[in-house]
Amino acid sequence: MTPRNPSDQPTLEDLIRLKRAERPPADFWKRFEEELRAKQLAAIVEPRPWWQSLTVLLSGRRAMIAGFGAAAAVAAVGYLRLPSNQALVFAQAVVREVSASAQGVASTPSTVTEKPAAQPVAVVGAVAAPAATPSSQVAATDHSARSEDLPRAAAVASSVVSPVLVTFSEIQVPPPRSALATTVPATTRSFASSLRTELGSSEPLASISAPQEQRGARFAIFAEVAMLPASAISSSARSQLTPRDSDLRDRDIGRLSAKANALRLDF
Amino acid sequence: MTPTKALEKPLVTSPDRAQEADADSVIVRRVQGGDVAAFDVLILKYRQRLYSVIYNLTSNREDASDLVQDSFIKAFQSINRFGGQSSFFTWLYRIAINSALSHLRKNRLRTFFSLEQIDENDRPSAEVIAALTDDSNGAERGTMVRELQEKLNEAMLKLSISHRTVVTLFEIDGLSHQEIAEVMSCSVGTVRSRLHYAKQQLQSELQPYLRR
Repeated sequence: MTPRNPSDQPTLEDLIRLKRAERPPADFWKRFEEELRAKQLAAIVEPRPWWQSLTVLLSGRRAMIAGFGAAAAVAAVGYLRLPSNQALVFAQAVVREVSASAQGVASTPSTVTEKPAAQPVAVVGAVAAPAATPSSQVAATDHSARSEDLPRAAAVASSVVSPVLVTFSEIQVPPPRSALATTVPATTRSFASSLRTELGSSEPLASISAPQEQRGARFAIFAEVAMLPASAISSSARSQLTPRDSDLRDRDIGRLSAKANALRLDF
Repeated sequence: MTPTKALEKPLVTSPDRAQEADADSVIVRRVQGGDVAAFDVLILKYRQRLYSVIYNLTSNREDASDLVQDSFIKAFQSINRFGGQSSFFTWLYRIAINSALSHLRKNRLRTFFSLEQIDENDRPSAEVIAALTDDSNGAERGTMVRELQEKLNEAMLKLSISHRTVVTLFEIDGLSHQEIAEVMSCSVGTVRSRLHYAKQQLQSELQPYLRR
């Protein structure tokens, strides 16, 4: 159908004006709103891909913080290779050994009290600050200043220390002299496997002959000592905790390794 | 009544646009701060305008509805990345136009279109209808207007996507050449050229229905 006479015919502008006046019916907007609400809810609930979250997380200042954090974590992991559960056992053993020795040699300072292993103070401290063990090692094994250092060692072990600070403090610490303290980091890797094997047998100490296995057995005793009150530790177990010359030699050899043209010494 | 020849474009003047942008940025900040409900204000404010543009690009009500909804969802999801370099509407508009263009490219061969009713309260269009259908009764008038709408939609769909977009943005939404150039990432000269060519094409397509 077309207009009856030419003067009634529209121009292009008229048609465009008609088009501009086109509107959807009222119920259209009701449906539009419902659909949009459903889509909006789905968009909120639907999990985003991980890379989108990453871009949001790592935007602006957060990127810098994350970078520093990652660098600090890498540095800390590079220097601290002592697993936390073994650090716990070690820290407990050191505290016990030192406090037991202090009781035998001189009067114990009033700030340090003998606590059963089940009490959480030393345990929590060791878990929270596994990196504090090198400082406590030095303090605990320096026999000349044992009574003075004992409270400090206990305090360090029970405090939370930043991994970054620990990394630097560990670098500055002089090489430990006590075999009791130094054999621990050197043998942590073989400890887990040997301990697992030893715990599986009925008489672990009877079948041990190699130096490495002997060390493993002593670590098993460390674990046992750590879990028991000082009064319950047998004298044979106590004698097993003393260092041996063969162990020191073996440890030093194990720390030295050569790769390509480089000579490496592990601390 | 003789229809006026000059088109009354719904152009928004600069001060108004700046004021509108300021009001929007306040709402956007609220949404960015966690007030999700504040986004509804923006939806209510711009849904008609966005729908109008996208409907005229697609000539299909359902497609236009989906595209406008998706545009709002995209804007809602990315609102934290909106830094305020442009006005919120320009940003939203770009999202919608890009979604529509992408949809049109994907469905190049689809020619199904739907018609909306003409708003009788719109004075200029009422004048046009009255001039076209002086003596005809209501039913006849409706049929004639509908036929004209169909012919225009058909002619629009025969235009290329870029030409259709320019005509829609300029004639329907009232954007300036400069604004269209920004939205379409081309020069102002290209916009003018496309607009001229598109109008010629529409004239020739609608020849039997138009006054010379």
